[in-house]
Amino acid sequence: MAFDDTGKINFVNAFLCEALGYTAEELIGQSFERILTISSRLFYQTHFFPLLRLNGKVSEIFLMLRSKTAESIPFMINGHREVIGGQVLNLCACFTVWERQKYENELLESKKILQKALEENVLLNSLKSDLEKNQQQLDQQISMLIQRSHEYVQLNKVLSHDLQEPIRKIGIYADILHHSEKISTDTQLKAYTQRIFETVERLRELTNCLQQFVSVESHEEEFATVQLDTLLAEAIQEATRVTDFTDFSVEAAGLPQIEGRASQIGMLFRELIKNAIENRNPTSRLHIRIGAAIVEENSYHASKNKYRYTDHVKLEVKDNGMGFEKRYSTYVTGLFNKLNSESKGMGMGLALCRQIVSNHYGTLSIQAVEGSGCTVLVMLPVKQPENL
Amino acid sequence: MSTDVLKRNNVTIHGKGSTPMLFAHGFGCAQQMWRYIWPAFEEDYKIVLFDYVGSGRSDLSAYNSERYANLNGYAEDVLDICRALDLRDVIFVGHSVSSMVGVIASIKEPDRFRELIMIGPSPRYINDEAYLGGFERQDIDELLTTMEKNYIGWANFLAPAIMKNDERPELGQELIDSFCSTDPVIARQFAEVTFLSDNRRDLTHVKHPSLIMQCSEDLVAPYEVGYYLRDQLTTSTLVLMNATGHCPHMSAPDETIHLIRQYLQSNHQPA
Repeated sequence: MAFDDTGKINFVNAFLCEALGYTAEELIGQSFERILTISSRLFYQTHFFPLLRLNGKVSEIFLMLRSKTAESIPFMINGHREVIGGQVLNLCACFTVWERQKYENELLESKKILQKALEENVLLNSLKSDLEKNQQQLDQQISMLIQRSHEYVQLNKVLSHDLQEPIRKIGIYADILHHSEKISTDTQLKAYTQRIFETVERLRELTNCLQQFVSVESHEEEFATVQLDTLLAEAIQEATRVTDFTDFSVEAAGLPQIEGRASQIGMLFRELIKNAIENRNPTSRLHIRIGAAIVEENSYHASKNKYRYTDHVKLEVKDNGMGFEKRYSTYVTGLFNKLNSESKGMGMGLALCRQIVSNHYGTLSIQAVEGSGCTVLVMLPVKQPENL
Repeated sequence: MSTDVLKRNNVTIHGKGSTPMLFAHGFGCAQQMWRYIWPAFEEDYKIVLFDYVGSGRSDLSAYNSERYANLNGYAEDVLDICRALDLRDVIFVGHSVSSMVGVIASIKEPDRFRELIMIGPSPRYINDEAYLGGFERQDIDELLTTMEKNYIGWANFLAPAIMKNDERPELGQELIDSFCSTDPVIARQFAEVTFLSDNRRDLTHVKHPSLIMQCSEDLVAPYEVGYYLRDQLTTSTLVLMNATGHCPHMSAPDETIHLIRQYLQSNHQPA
């Protein structure tokens, strides 16, 4: 048989007509695909035609043809392209392969069984050695984590009590000094004690920030389903209260529900909004736009060559603030690192955000353009790994 | 890292322009399927061609069945190439399943892309309640059998996929020429990932202008699918092609080139 590049049948011989139960008149001018089963049409479109077109020939291609009575008939086809009468035609020799198909089916079946067994064996062996290696590593890491977790509890206690006490005492004695008669007349000494007050205050703030940072690490709160839009609304109120700033707008759409620790996710939103407020552009009204989309991301972060694509919410928090130079993108998420010397913040907000996000097995990155705002990109799993 | 990716995905670069045009092949073939198209654009664009890992002359040892069990793994190939070549404002041209790979990549890293040109796209091949994709699950299973039958000669020569056959490289070459892939197991997984994919929910997140090139009488992506995509992609343009079948870039290269060029020159809705 012959057909042109649009698939139209140009010629068909008596053998093929008989095999399919058509007359030549019924087939000529029709599409070649009409005499293929659906799956063979797919193979024709994805393999047969591209190969014939690219290589000029195909050999021993197996296709199921469809007879007039809708029966599937196995065919082996060889084809090549030729210019006949100024027209490019695809010439195909088609043979029925009933017998061969039987052998092939058996061959395929036994091959499949064999291959499966082989694959499983190879796979099992490699998995076994991987498993042993991983288990050893995992054990080391778990024992280190347990140790670290104890340390965090200690550190939390130190920061919330032990350190607070000496700070409080310095404050008290500085106050006594400040109000004592001996220095009340000495303006120089009075300025010094004032500096002590300010330093104590700053020390207290730093300690509180550190304590907050450390407490995020203690995993007392369980994961639960949280509504991101509700948490965002609360966080906006909280950020407004803390910064005493109200002249801004937030536009958020399509925030889904995910699994997370509600207080931490709330803190994440609050810190992101506080960050935008603190680094706003004084010449234009602050506008924060929060977009959300569900994308599939690899849930393995540290293990190389491990892939498992799961649903993540991609949050894009975009403001029209001051932005910063591109080279500081990593610096700004460091603990107590800040670029804006005008702001009252401690340089803690984004570090806290990064900590919260990694506690939820997510990722956080920041892109900024100096003078025209920054975009914080947060990727959080919709379901926490252990609950998949 | 960057040279590794270029080697891994057999990246080839042509052209005199600076705006990148990235051509992504579909299931069943490799980058040579673009050979009638890209030369038309080489004067004005930087042409980037590649093979997905597992197809064509890519590095088969980089194939990871977990990564490529999902179209996101293929999208990661596209993004890896964009990062390695530091491509921005890419005009992405995807055939068939690659259209959705482009959709995924453009949502993940929007800044890398400028426009999406989709040839015979479909966000889902299998019918689902009111949605008409054109196939039933059973059709896909039969396709997998047809593929196995066509790989049978080779599959018996070649050791199973997990034991790479290095002693007879000529077999690999022959198979590349015949099937654009040396490995029946990989080809099968690609078929499964392609035809069982469902990317309908991603469509609302596409912000880039896109061109949907809908062929006539295309079994793989019927008219209904083209209309569905046009309605879901708010910044899209649908063109109905005279070309029949699923491979207009091979059966009707002139019409394909003309429509792409016309679209690139038009003032379609910007991103």
